[in-house]
Amino acid sequence: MAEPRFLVVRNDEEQYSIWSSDRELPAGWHEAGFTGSREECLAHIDSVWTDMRPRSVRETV
Amino acid sequence: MAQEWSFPASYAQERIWIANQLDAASPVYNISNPWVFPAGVTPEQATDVLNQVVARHETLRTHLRVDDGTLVQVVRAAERFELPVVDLRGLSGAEQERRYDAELTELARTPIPLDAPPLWRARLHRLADDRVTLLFVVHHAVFDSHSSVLFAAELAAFSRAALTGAPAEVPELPIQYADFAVWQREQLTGAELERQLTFWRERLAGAPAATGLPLDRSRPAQLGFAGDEVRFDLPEGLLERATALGAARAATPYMVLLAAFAALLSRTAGEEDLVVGVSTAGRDSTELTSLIGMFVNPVALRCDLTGDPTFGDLLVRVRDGLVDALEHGQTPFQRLVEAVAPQRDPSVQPIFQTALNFIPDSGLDAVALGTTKDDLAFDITAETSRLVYRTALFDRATAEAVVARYVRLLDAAVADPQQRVSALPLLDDTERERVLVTWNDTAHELPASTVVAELQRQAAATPDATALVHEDVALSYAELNARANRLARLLVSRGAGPESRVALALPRSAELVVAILAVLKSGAAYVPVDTGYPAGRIAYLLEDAEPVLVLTTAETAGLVPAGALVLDAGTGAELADGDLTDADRLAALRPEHPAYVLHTSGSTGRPKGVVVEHRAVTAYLAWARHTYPGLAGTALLHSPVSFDLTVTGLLGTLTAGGTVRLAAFDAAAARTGGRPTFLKVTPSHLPLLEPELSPTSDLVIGGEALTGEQLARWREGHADVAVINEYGPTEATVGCVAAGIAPGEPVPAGPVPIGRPTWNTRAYLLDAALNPVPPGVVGELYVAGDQLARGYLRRPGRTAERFLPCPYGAPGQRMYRTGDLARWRPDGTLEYLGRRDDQVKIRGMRIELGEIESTLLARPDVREAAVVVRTDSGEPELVGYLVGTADPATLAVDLAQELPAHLVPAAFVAVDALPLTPNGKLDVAALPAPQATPTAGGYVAPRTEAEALVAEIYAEILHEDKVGALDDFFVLGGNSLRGMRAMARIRAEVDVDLPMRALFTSPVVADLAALIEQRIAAELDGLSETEVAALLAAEKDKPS
Repeated sequence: MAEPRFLVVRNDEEQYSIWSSDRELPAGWHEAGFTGSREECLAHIDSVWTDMRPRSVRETV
Repeated sequence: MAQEWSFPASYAQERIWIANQLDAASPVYNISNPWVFPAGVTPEQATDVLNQVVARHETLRTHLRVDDGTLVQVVRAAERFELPVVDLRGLSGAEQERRYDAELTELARTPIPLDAPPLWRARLHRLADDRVTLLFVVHHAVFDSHSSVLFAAELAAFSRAALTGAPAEVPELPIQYADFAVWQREQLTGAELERQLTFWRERLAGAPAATGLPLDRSRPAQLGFAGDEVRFDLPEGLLERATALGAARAATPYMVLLAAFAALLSRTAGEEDLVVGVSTAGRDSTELTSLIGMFVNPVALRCDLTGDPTFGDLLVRVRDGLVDALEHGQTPFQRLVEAVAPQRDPSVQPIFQTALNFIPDSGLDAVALGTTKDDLAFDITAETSRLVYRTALFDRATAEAVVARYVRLLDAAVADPQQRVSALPLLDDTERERVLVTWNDTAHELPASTVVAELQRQAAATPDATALVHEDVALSYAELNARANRLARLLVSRGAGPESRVALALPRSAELVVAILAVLKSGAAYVPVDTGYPAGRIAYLLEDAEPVLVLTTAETAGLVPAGALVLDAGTGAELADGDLTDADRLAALRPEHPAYVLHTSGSTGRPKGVVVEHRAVTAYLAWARHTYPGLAGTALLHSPVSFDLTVTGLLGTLTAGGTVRLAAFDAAAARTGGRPTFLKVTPSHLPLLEPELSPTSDLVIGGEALTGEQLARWREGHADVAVINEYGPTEATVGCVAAGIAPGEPVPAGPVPIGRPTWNTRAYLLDAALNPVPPGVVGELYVAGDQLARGYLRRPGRTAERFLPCPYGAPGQRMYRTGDLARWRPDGTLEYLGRRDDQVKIRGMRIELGEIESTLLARPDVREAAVVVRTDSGEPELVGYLVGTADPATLAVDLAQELPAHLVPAAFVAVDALPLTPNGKLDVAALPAPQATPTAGGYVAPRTEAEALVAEIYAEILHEDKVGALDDFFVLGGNSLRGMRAMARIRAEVDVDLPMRALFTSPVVADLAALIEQRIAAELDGLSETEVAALLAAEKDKPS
């Protein structure tokens, strides 16, 4: 049994999350270009989501 | 009397007999088999016809009897039976039908004792000169569904013969049922039986002991047979489509129906491994095909749904599993039970609790008996089908929903077998709309705001009102605001501002409240650090939070690194005390900036800081002020501010014009100034709430699961106070789901619902594939809406794991995965069912700790109770802790009368008080381990005469040298057959009326002995003193 695959996804506030690769991605979310196991995806997010402020907050500062 | 012959009972008869013993007064094993004679048959001829069938089949002249502890079938020589004839010729057709239905129902619902022949009841109704009908009810011990087909065929054949005079065309019967029983006993022995049992042991190893289906009521200690049924018709053509799908995959229609049932059970119970009951006809050789008798043998079908297969793949798995199971279908079910599940629990039917039968030809029994053997069982026929359900566990509405979901799922699966099981529809559109939208209709217009703006609005509105009382310090709103403003200016000058953090290592004091307000005003987020924590934990929190500044006082300065700002009365005294504007801050403060960071400790890993934004806090506070009028009075603040439960009493009060009274429960100050109006506690605090501490307006309970029993005692004295059960993880800001209990409203025992989502919050109960679960079904709780936290401080991966894309909200929204389990009640309120990670199984059964605690708390001699799972001895076991006068030594026996065996704790420990964490939750780690019990492998000599008697009989029947008071009949290797012998011996020795089921409910020597003593005592109660004296004298004279 293959390990379930996940996508790294991101919304317009540039908040990251993960999503099972065989489910339809909810509206307002986009693939962020990384696929892997759950742990691989989370590790990837740890390395790329360095500023956790929502985009709207970041941009008005 | 007619001649009789005894033969061994068949395995099937033995199984039915034993099951029947559990409630001999139930008609559960009655089968009604009415028949209409062809026109022209007279009542005399009809009687002849039935007698001819009875003469041909020994089973219709058989009864069962225990001879020396062995069950035998007794066949009586054929003799003529006269049938009662009810003459209905003068009545209208409708009246005849009414009489017929009424009498058949009455016959069908009258138990047929197994120990007297015949095991059937018959009556004739004469409807017209040439019309006769037969009412016939027969016990399952001598009849099965194929028998009804044979029975009808023979009645028809003999009727034809009676009318024409020609010989009846009936098949020859080379053997009789008793021959089969003898052959079966010879056949299934030694190596062959062992081979079959080995197959089943391997097949069922590790299988769940009980279905995980959500029940409407908890299992009673005794199951009984009370049941009901929902009849339904499959949609036109569905059975044909199912048949066609099966044919394409070398599967029978039965396999398709079973696969859909397995998918339904898996989706409803949230389990991937389940066992379903299926029946084998048990007529494997041709000599048996024409015999009336009981041949059916249940077998277990274990279904593997791991990996979320497509329905087509599941069908193949079910097909292969069923073929395998049927190849071993001769294994007598009773033997299988004894081999696989020797531990008896009379609250659960062994091996399987759900079943599906496909009986396309025979149709349903004419009479609904109000009984059931299984928890849930489908009988699918080509005409009307039914779901039979156990009324002790399920409501009718639930059974109807199960039927609707089964049909919907089967229909969809057959239409597109490429769908994964997780994608098959369980809800219809209306139900889906209800759980996703209607029950989440929480929209409430609220402007986004900051906590600072709310605090300053209140300070300006009520400057002279008392805002804060701590010991002998009292501050008005104006004073508190001014002090916070001065300190805030100092904090800004030291680098505090939006998106930075200030740690507060301060004791509970007025300074602490000033500091919280000052940090908020500076634009930074406050990070409370409980000064009572161990040094290592404080160091970790300060490192994790990366604060720009740490605030402390002289008293606590030693706990924090050098460089902390030590507050005293003069700190910032020289600075301006007006409200800060964005010009005074390092950057503009917006509702999206963090207000606080609270650390939560998960069960695994280090504490994580939850970053909560101003907009989330103000959204919660607006709802709280609206819901809790007591916030405008006096709130007693007793918990550490590091626990978000405190936010309500602190920030809620200070934005509502009320007074915060800062004091621990045990401090005199907590009681000074009259009762508070508002108090928020955990359920564990409830026993501490003396009258003087009890609020007059609102009692809010949060932080842990609440039961009616926990609340009952406090509420007796405070019926005039509103109680609100508030649910909320820190990640969804204090409280996001709440249930109000109005003053005087009764609170039933059991779990108190957590209610509905609060303003602008949505609650979703989802399964593993993120589909909404139907009402009543357990799902994981996800929360979406305005109160969601930003995430975990400096933990992007952990944040991404718990804050997921929300498929049910506006585009781009997130939903927080709480890790909590809950279910919807039919009224749209949520019932909390504990942490997902804490789901415990013991001996394969899911345990609800709250249920056991409720049962304990219902006793007058238990004031507080907690039940936990401990693994001190390696194996997980339940341990009960209690405060009160109850005797731990006798609790297990008492509880066994009310709770299923698997819910009775293995040990009880009396404690002076339940230990609490600083936040007021039960401190599980601080509960003492139970003393090792003498049962663990030890021998306890029988202590009473009754125990000695039971132990001696066990030893004799089980060929054991030494049996102790705490030994279990079934653990020692006993089975039902030996149990029958043991009970016969006991009855012979003590002459009490002890039913067979007593052994199943109380297999331990001491328990059975106690039951015997109870029976004797009860019988003595009915006697006069003289009679008792005579009895005792007689006992004495008995030779021992």
